[in-house]
Amino acid sequence: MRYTGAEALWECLLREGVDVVWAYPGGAALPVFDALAKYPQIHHVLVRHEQAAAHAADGYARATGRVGVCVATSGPGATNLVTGIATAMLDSVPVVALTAQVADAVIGTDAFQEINITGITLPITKHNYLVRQSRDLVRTLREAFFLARTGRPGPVLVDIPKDILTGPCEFHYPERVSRLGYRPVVRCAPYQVQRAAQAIADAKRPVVLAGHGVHVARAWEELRCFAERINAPVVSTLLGLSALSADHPLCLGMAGMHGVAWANLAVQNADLLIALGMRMDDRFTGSLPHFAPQARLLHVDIDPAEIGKRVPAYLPMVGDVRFVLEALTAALPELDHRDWLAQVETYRVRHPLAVHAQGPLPPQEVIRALYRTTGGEAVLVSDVGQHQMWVAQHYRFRRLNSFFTSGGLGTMGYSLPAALGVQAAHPTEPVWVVVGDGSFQMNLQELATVVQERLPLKVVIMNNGYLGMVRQWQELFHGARYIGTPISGPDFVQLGQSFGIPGRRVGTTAELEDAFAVAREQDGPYLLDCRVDGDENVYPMVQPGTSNTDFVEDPRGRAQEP
Amino acid sequence: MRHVLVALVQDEPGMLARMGNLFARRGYNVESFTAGASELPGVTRITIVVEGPSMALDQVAKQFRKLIGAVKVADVTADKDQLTHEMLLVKVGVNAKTRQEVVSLTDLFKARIVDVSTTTLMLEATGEPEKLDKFLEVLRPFGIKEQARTGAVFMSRGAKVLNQRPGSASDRKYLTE
Repeated sequence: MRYTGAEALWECLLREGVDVVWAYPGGAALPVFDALAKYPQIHHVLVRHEQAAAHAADGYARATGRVGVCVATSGPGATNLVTGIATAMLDSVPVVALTAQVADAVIGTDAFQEINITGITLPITKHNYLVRQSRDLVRTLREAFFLARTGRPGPVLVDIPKDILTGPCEFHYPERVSRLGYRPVVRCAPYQVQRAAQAIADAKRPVVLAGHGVHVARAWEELRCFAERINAPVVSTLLGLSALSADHPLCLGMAGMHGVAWANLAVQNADLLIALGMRMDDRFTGSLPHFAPQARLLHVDIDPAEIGKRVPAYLPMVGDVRFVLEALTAALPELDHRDWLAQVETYRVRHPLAVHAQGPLPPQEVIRALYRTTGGEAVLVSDVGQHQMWVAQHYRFRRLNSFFTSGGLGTMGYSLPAALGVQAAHPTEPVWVVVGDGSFQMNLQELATVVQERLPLKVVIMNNGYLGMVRQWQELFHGARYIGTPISGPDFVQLGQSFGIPGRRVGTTAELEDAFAVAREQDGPYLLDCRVDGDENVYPMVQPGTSNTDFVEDPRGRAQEP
Repeated sequence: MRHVLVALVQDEPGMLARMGNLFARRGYNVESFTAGASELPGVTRITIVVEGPSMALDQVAKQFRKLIGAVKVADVTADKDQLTHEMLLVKVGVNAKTRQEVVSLTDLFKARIVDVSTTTLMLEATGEPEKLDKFLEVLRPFGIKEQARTGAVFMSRGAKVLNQRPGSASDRKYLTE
């Protein structure tokens, strides 16, 4: 069967099971869009900025576990993808980014809208390709999907010159794909399982650390069974939230810089950490020399380069989290750690997560109201900043894999475009977006895409007139000189209306319940402009370079204690 | 500490840039980087001599192994039963009085004269980098006009073969689906 290169591209996508792409056209990409007319099975979402296409593909991939696809033209179209690709790279998200390139004959001449996008994305992709010959196109696309989703997932970019898109292309979709030297280890060795089981059986104060890898491996059930079998508390990283229901008695929530105190204390006092698909990020560990000083580390990751990178592992286990958990659960008897769990409970009683804010609309109360409205069952996308941390602390994720946010890269502007993809994965229910006024203004153009696609998205803007997290650091570490952090914005309710999205402003705690109920009941999108207090800080906080034991709690809470 | 890494990588565009990126990111000083065809078709063998702290270099090697197209990466620093050789071309200034002296030094170092002009001699030498350092040292008084070194290539002695060395994921050569 003969196709044009562009047709062959869509044929490949069909065979990969792709039914939706986020895309933005342009000169070099014209053949790709022209050929799309023949492929009604693939829904094409026109975004308003290529960055949004990359984030949407990322959100879709996180929510489904399948590869998300975004398409852009050459030059500025391709460079606009960069932040989105980097976001996916840092959080190990399977994304295939397809970019059109100028014709092969003029590559390297600074032709109009030519940019070396494979060079630019070299350090922020798992792998990338420039297709130089038609006969390589199909195999390359096959390989790109294969690499994106296997092993430790990540973004793969394929750059395709326009003449290859328009020219003839022999189509033969290879059934098998292999790469010399590429073989992620999925199953760890049996003797490692035995050693690990022994270490777990010997432990008096074990803590399970659930990272993003639990979601990537889709090992939620295995995590629950394992934690119950060994009767150990489960602490999450930011991206590990919703790996275990917050209602589960063993679920402690998030540890780290803004983690809840009891989770940090559990980690710091543990004698064994069982780290699952997490990379000991500096925001999680705090000062390394002070991190979990009494603990042995059993480190499970599919990427050997993450093991021993920041914290030496007592026992490295390279493998897929799901497989390792199954094997460990099978190798262990029921364990009993009631004394340890009771000790952890005292941490919780001594350092509760209370809201001490006095203003008319404390931001934490907005998150708590969202939790009450949705019963913790919502699919939630958060942006980056203070509001992200308040979500992580105050929203109790009862639903598995229901929280999506940019962790590693901390990309402001992520939430609204990512929610386009998350919503595509959950078409029948509203997706909730929690976003600061700063982050929202980075990608608010996507409200137009929300309307175009008739998405029932609910946007909760935590509007405090500041780039709040940076302001907090200025207050604490830069003499409260608020330079560059007060930020103005439009009337967000009116802005939403101009896109055709109804909404309302919320100024006091008393209005919250009603406002969230109205938002929830709307069939279409809805926007809440929550005017929260601008001088609130996120507590507890572990100051940079200090131990996770030395978290700072809200000073107002201390004053109220008897 | 000085480390020697040997790698087998697939011969494809961008591979060099990917490798360079790894070392540059960590601020490593790459003393030499040698690439050439290996015994496997389409696979390039690379020898990298690099100066840096061992812990961090171990991390670089792990990340090197992650590169798509990296077939084998081994830190062979500890391997004592081996050969590390490089080649040198050097153009030395000579006159009627000094020419014979340079010729005898060339013999002494088992080097070869590969080109002669009225004012210069071009010499070719191979061997361990330290030997070439010494050779250059004794030639220096005559005036070195130009020098080119290939960088070291490494190979273990005996029956050991890099492609079958244990200890990395690349032993299992193919992942298919």
